[in-house]
Amino acid sequence: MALMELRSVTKEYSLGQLTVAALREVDLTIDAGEFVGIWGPSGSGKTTLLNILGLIDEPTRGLYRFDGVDTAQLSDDAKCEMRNHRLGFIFQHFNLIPVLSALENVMIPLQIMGRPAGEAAQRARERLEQLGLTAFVHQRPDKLSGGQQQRVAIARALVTHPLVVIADEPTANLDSQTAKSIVGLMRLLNREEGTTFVFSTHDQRLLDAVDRLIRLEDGCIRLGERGDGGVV
Amino acid sequence: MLAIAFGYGAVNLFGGFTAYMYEGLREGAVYGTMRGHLTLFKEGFLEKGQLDPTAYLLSPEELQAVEAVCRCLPQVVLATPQMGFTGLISNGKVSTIFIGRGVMASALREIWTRRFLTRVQEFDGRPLDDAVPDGVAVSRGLARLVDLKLDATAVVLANTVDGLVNALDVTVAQMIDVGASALEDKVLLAPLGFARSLLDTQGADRVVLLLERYEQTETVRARLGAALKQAGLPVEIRNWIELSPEYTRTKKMFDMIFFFVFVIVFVIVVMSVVNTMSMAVMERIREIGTLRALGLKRRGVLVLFGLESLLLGLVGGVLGMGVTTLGWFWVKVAEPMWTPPTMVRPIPLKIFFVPEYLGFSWLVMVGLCLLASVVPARRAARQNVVEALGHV
Repeated sequence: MALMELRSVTKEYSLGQLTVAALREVDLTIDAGEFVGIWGPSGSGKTTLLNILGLIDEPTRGLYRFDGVDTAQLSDDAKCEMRNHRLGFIFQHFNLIPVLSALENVMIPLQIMGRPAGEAAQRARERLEQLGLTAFVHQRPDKLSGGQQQRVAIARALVTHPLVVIADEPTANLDSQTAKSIVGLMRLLNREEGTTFVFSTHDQRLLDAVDRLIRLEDGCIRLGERGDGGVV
Repeated sequence: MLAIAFGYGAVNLFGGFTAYMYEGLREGAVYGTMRGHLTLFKEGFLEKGQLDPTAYLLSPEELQAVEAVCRCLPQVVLATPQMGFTGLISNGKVSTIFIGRGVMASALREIWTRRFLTRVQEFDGRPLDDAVPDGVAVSRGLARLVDLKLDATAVVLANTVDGLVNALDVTVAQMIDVGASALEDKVLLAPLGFARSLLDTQGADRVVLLLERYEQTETVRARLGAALKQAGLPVEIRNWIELSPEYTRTKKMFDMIFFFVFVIVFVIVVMSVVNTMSMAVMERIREIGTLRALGLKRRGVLVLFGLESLLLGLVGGVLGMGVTTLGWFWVKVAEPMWTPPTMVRPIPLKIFFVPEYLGFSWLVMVGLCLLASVVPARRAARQNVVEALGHV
């Protein structure tokens, strides 16, 4: 069974009298354990696609099944729980809470889940150590470099052991060296822990690392440039 | 938070001042006007006493019996007869009307020394003395009208209880201050013996009772009523509030002022909290989006902002207690003087420290902070996650 399945998904936005389609009749299937890149020019619908896959936005039309569940039937609270338990997010601008330390930022998803503070801190610390941030657990984001902040964001995305990590341009704000290490890290986690990664990017190093590349143009999926036929 | 602290402080300092005012008014009503906590009249005196004084005066035997019953109650610290009268006072050339009261001089001292807030030297001259019945006190305004100085002599004329005219010589033993301007040129205080001689009676029109505490008033009234009834004494009892309508009126006025101040301050506090929380929501839209993306439910966002608001109220209240304590301490140390409207000499201004006010207004403040956070918190919780994440 596919982990994520889109059938004829369309997403439209209203701009006054005008209706703009960000996605048009998209069909897509992503299996567990895949390392999928979404590529395309600006305005092609990459972020909209990731938002729908990540359950923070809804299709205007079409069907989206996540882990076998028709997401249209889910309440807002149920989607929240699904995001919290089964999804992880990595943002282009890291989106760390500035007043919290690295450790506290990573603890957030576990605390939302209702885990006791001690357990949450222990698991968050382990993730940060795994990502080489042992020395920075008590630092606030403004004391960390861009690469370190993105590592903290990755730790936060992975701390709940999600099925899928959704990453929107995860290396866009990083220098070349740091971007390379982040790409390697994501790939490593994908291989070692079997976590599915779906990300949008313009970064060639990430594109080179993907199992499967999905190309978006004007809200439509074009043929994959590389992969095993996942593109429908 | 400063707005909360200073608003809370202002309300409580004003509340402390109001409590002080109430106490001052109460003291004035019970001790200043010599009415005591309870006053006993012969049944019907208040309605018909003026028309037929003889019938509604307490006779010496009745006075003795009433005082004996009163003294059986341990809460009664003083039971003393008084006699009201009116007439003319003349210096031989000019005359004017007066309103007089015959009192036991020893009891008068006992009543006045029980004052705490308004204890000031209210007269010039020497104290009244039961052994010197013609030594009287006149208000300064009355003395001015008939040109009387201390130790000057004058003649007072009044109707006896039988309706005859009687005149007696008096010596001005003391000049007194009367706070009420309407009475400033009319008051005369005399030893009870003098009043009895002037009115040609051995009775009195009332018995004034002083109790240990204000709070005992109604209990003693009930017990005394039963005891007097059992003794077959036709007496009616009035408490100090019933005999002091000005106390009730002034208290209502201060209650209203306090209410307005309370409302104004709390409106300011609520607006401040709404503003603070709205700013917090605006500044954290992206963070709210992030938390929602990570799985925080809408009610979780509500709880977060509610807690923040609660904390704002709690800490603001604690700071406000500091402001209140500082203000209270400054007034206690500096002892600024002021002249209340019912007095003619300045007395030390006080602000009472009222824990009940502090606790109640703290609860109200915290409640209002929570209430004020509802609208901004709901706005935060309803944020579209995608738009919030894209907010710059």
